[in-house]
Amino acid sequence: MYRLKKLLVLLLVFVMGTGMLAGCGGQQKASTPAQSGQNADESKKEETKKEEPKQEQVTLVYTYGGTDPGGNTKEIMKRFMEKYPNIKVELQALPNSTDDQHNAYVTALSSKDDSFDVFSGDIIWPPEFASAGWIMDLDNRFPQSEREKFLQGPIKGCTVNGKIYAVPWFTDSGVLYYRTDIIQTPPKTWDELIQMAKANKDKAKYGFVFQGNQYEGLVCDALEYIWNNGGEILNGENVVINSPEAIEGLQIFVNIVKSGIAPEGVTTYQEEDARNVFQEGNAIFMRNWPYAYTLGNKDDSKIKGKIGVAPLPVGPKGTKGGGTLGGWNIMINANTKHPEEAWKLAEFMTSYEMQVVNNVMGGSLPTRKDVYNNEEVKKVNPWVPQFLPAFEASKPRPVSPFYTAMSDSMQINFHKAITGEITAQKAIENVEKDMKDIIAKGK
Amino acid sequence: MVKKFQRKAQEARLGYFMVSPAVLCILLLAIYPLFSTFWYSMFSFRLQMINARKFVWFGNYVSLAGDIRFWAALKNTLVFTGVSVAGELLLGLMIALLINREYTGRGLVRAAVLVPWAIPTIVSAQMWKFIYHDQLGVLNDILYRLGIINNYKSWLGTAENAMGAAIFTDVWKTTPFMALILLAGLQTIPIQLYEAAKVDGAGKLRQFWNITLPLLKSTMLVALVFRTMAAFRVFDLIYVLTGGGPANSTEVISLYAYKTIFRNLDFGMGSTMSVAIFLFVAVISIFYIQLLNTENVEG
Repeated sequence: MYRLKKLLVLLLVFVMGTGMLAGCGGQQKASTPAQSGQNADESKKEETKKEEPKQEQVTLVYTYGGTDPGGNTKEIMKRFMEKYPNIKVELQALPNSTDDQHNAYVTALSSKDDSFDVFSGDIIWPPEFASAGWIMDLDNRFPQSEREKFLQGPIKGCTVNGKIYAVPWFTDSGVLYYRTDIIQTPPKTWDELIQMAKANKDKAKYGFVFQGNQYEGLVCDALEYIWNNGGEILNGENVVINSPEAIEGLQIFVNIVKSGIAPEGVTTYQEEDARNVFQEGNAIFMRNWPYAYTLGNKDDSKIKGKIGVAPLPVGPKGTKGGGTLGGWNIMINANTKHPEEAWKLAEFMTSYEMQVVNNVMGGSLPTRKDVYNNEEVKKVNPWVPQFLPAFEASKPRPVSPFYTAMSDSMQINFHKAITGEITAQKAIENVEKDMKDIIAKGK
Repeated sequence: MVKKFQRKAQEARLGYFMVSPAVLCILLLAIYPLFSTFWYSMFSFRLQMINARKFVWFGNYVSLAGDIRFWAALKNTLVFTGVSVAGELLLGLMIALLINREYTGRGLVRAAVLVPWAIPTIVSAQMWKFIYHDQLGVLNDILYRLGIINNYKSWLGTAENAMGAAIFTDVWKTTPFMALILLAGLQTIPIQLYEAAKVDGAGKLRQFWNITLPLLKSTMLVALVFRTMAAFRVFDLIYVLTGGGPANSTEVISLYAYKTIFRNLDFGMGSTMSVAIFLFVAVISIFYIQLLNTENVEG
C-alpha cells in the first residue's frame, strides 16, 4: 500500500515536473517568435536586396497627444511615407492633457522602452528629459545655421546646457479671443475687459472664459497676469516672484474669477471646456491658445466669422501683453533602434512645407519665422502674420529640470487663491518658499 | 521509528517542493517590491539627477513628517474613507434588508442593484465627471429645470462641493458591494429565531435590534475591512474626477505619492509615502482583525 502511494506521488511529481518543464518550454517558444521574426526580417531583407538593392524597411512609431482634430498630423505622415517609401510610420495617440502625457512618457522612458521612436513633447520637458538622459542629443544633426531660422523662444526652450535636444514644431502663446459682433476694439487692460464684459451682459451668457482648473494650464494663465503686470518668476537661479507687481497681477486674476463675468465652474475648466462655451456663443471673451481659431471658424461653430484675436490685456503696472510660451517639439527617444530614420522624420515634420500644412489644417503656429510670410498661411489664417511680434515676445515658464515640482506648487497655490482659500499675497509667498526649497534641493 | 522519521522528512521535503512555486510567486510579487520600496525610501533619489543618489537613512521620513501637504492629504483621505464607508454601510444595509424580503421581481431588483458595481471605476468616474460638468452636465440641467437652482452650479469647482461629489460617486459605486455581502449574512440567520420572537410578542424593530444586528455583526466587519482598505487607497476615482483640485482639497495620499513619483520624478520621497500608506493600511487591518477575533471568541 505504502509503495503504491509512493508510486503515485512519484507519478504526480513527474507529471507536475514535466508540466513545469513544458511550461518553461512554452516560455522559450514564446520568446522565439521575436527571434524567428528577426530571422524572417533578415531573410526578407535578403529577398528585397535581390529585388530592390535600396534600403531596408523600417517602421517608426510616432506618439502624440490629442485627437489630431484638423487631420494635419495624419496628412504630414502620409506625405512623409510618400517621400520615404522605405519608412513606415505608425501613429500612437495619447490623452489630451499634457500632465497625462508626461506621466506616460516618464513611465516608458525611465524603463528604457523602445516601443516608440519619435514623439511630440511639451516645451517644459526638455530640461527634465535631457538631464535624465531620455531624449537624443541633436546637437550634431541640427546645425546652428538651421536653428537661426526658428523663433528664438522655442529654440531656447529646447536647449539644455548649451546643447539642443528637440526641434520646435509649433509654438503656442496665450491670446485673447473676442466676439467681433459685440466688441469693436479689444480691451487693452484687464479693467477694460471687465467693464466691457459687464456692459454687454445681455449679449452672451458669460463675459470671459479661461483655464481655471488645477492643472498645468492654470499656471500658464496665472503667469500671464503676473508678467503682464511687470512681475517675474525666476531670474537665473534667484526666485523673484515675491514682488508687489506679481501679487497685484495675481490679485487681478482672483478679481476676475470673483467678478461674476466668468461662469462659476471656470475653476474646473481646461482648454476644451472654455472653447466649448465660447464656440457655442456663450461668452464674449476667451483666453486660449491659437488652435481655437481654426476650430471656431469651422462650419459647425455658432460663431463662425465672428472671432477676433488680440494680445492679452495688461495690468496697471504692465506695458506689454505677452502670453505664456507654449508649444510642442519633436523629440527622439534615446533608446530608438533607428536614430537615422527618426531624425529624418523629425526634420521632415519641422520643415517649411510641413509647418505650412500644420498651420493651414490645424491652426498651429509655425516655429520657422519664414512661414509667417507664406501666402497660403496668410490667406487661411490672416491673423497669424500680424501677431508674429507678440509671439516673439511670449515668455517661457521657468526653465528647470525640476519645473514640474515648481508647477505643482504653483497649481495648488494659485488655485487656492482663485477659489478664495488664501490671499494672493499668501499664494505668492508659498510659491516663493517652495521654489527656493526645490532649487536648494536640486543643487 | 527511523523509517517513520525518514518518511516524515521526505514528506516535508515534498511539501516544500510543492509549495515552492507559490512561495516564489509571493516573494517575487509582494515581498520584493515591498522591500525595494522600503530600500528606495532611504535614498535621496531623483531621476533628473540619477547620479546624485545618496543614502539618507530616515531623512525622507523626517521631511515627510514636516510636510503640511502630506498631512492635508491624509486628512482628506480619512474624511473620504470615513464618510463614504459609513454611507455605504447604511445604504447597503437598507438595500440588503429590502432585497432579502420575498416579493415578485426580486431577482430583477437584485440584478439592477449590482449595475454600478459592475462598471469599472475609471469609467464611472468619467461618467460622473460629465454628470457634474457645469455647462454640459445633466445634474445642473435637471436642477435648473426643476427650479431648484437659478444658475449653473460648479460641483467640482469649490472645495466644499468637490469632496462631497467624490464621496457621493464612491457611495453610488460601492454600495452594491456592501449590500451583496450583507445580504449573504442576512440569509444565514435562521428564520426560526424571528418566529420565536414573534410568538414572544417582539415587534419588527425589536427583532431587528435583537436578532438581525447582532447576528450580522461579523459579516458587517468583514465588509468594513474590505471597504475601508479600498477607500483608504482610493486613486482612480479622484484622479479622473478632480485630479486633486480644487485648491488641492481632494488630494488623497495615493494621488500625492503618485504625483511625487511620476510627475516630479522624486523616487526617494515617493517611496517614503508609499511605505507610509502601507503602514497606515497595516494598522487599519490589524485593528479590524483584532475586532473580528474578539467577535469570534464571543460568538
